[in-house]
Amino acid sequence: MIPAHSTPAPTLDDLRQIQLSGIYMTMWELAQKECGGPAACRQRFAGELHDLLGLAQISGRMIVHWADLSAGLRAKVEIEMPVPCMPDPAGPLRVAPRALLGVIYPPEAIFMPQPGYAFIRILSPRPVWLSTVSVDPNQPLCLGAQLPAGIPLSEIVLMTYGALTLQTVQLDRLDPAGVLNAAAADWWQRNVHRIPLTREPFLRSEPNHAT
Amino acid sequence: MKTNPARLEEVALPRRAQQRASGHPPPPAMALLGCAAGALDGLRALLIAVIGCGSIGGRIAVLLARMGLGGLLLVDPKSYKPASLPTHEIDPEDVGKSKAQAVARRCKAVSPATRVAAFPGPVEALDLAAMADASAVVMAPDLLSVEIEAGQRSLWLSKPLIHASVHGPTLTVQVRLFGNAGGAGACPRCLYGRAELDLLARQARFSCEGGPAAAAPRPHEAPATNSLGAICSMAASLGVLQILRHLLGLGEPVADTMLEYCGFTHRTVISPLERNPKCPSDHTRLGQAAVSEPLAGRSLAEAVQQATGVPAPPDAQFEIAGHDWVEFAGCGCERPAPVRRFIARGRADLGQCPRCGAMRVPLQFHTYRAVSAAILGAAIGRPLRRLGVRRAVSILLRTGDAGTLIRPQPANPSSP
Repeated sequence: MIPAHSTPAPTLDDLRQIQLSGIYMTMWELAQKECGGPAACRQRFAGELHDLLGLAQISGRMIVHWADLSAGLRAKVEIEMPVPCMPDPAGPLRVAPRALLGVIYPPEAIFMPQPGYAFIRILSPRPVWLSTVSVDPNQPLCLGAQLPAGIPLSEIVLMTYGALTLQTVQLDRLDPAGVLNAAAADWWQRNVHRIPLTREPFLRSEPNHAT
Repeated sequence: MKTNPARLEEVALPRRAQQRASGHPPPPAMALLGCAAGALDGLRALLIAVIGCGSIGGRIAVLLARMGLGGLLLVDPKSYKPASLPTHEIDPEDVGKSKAQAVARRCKAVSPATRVAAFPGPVEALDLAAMADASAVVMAPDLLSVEIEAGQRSLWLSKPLIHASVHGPTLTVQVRLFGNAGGAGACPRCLYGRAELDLLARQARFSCEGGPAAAAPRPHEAPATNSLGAICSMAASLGVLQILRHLLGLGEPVADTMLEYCGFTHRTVISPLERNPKCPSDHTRLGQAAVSEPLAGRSLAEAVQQATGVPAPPDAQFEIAGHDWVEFAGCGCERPAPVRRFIARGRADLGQCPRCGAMRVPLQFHTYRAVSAAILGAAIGRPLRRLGVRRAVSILLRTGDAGTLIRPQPANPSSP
C-alpha cells in the first residue's frame, strides 16, 4: 500500500498497490459483489477495475463515473484531453476539452486476441474527427488490427489517450490496421502541422519532455 | 433495415434434383470386423458439426454425407479463392462461393435425406444451442482462435471434438480426438506452448492454399502450409475413420489421443492428449434442461425456476439465442433513448426518433450479448415475448462457474 504522501508519486507500475480512495473503493466493492462468470474471469476483472480506478486516482485528468462487472467489464470514463471534432465537414476543426468513453472489456478478451476496435466507444464529444474513429453513432476507436489476449485495461486507456490527442497517429488509408474514417485520414495528412494536439503525458505528475 | 449477419439455414435440394433424389445413399454393404451387421446404420441417427469447411473439413463433410449421416451442420465464414483450387475439391466456377454453403449443397446432393444446415459466419457468432444436438464436432480451421472457441464449446457441451490438420512441408497429418467425456481431458488450448501463444496473439492464419497466390504471406499471416491435395485428403480420411471408431466404438478407444501420419515414411504414431492444469479455458460442463412450453411465453425467472428448481441467483447471466439486450439507442439527439428490451442480433435500427427524425440504432456500449440479472432488474420477471423475443430457441444461464443450457421441450420427443 502506498501512503498518501509518499515520494516519489505513484506510477503506472504501482497501480495494483494503490489504496483506492473512498468513492472508488466503494465503487470497486459494489462492482465485485455483482461480478458474474467463472472464477478466473471474476478475479481478473476485479483486478482490472482496481487498476482502472487507481489510474484515475493518480492521473489528475481521469474520472470513472460508472463501472459494472456483472457481465464482463464496462465502465464510463471521462478523460480531460483535447479531442478533435468536425461538426461541419466544411467548417473549422473544433477541439473539445474532454472525452467521455465507454470502455468494454469482454470476458473473451482475457484469453483471445481481439480486434482493435473492440474496447472503446467514444460517447462524447461527437462527431470526433480522427482516422481511427468511425463516424457511426457508436464512434468506435480502433487501436490497431489486433490487440493481444489479456491486454491490461490501463494499457488500453493509455493507448486511447495517445490516439485521441494524436500523439500516436495512423493516417494511411491503405493500411488495414486502424483507419475507420478515410476522409479524416486525408484531412489530417493535409494538416500534419496540427499534430499532436498536446504533448502532455497522461500522468499529470510526469515531467513533460516536450521541446 | 437490417445488417447481414450470417444466418443458419437448412439447405434444400432444387426441385429437379428432388425428383431424382432417392433418399439416403445405401449404407456401405459390409460387415465391420467385430461389429454386428448393420452397425453403420447407426450413422443415420448422428448429427455432426463441422467447423472449417476448407480442404480438410469440406472433404470430411462430403465423406460423412456419402455414408448417409443423419445431419450435418457446416460452419465457415470464408469463400473460395483461386488459390483454393490446388487443394480443395472444387471446380474453377466455385471460386467466390461461400465454403459452408457450397459444401452443404454438395452434401445434400450426395445424400438428400441428410439434414444439412450451413452457417457462413464465424463460429463465435453461432448460437451455442445450434451445436447442442450434435453427436460430435469436427474442426479443421486455419486460425488458432477458432480452435480455442470450438474446443471451449465442445467442452461446455461435452461433445467429442475431432481436430484434423496438416503440415504441408513435412507431409504430416495430425488427427486429435478430444473425448470431453467428464471434463478431465485435454482441450486444444491445453496443448499450446509459447510458439502457439505467439501465433495466437498475431492471429496467424494457417492456410492450406497452394500456388503462387499463396507464396508470399501477408502481414499477420503465417507462411502458407502449401499442402498437397493428397495430404489434405489423407487428413480428411483419417479424421473420418477416427470419428467412426469413436462414435461406433470400433477397435481400441481413440478418445484423448493424437494420431500422426508422415507421408515421407508412411509411419503412424499415436500419443495421448493430456490436460494442462494451467489451461485458461473453462473446463466446466454445462447442464442441459428443458422447459415445457415455448420459452418466449415465460419470463427468465420462470424459465430458470422450472429448469433448475431454484430461483435465479443475483450473479446470474443470461444469453438468449439470436438476441442482444439493448439498454439505450442513439440517434441525432444529444441524449440516448432508453430501449431496455431484447433485439434480434444484427438489427441495425430501432425506428425513427420522433424528435430528431434520425434512425435510432442500438448503442454498442449499452448492448449485451450476455446480460446479468443486475442489469435486467425487474425485467427478469416479465415474459420474454413482452421484452421483444418472438421465439427463443435457447437460454444460456451462467451462475459463477456453473451453467445450464435451457431449451423448450420438443413437442414430439421422438422426432429427430
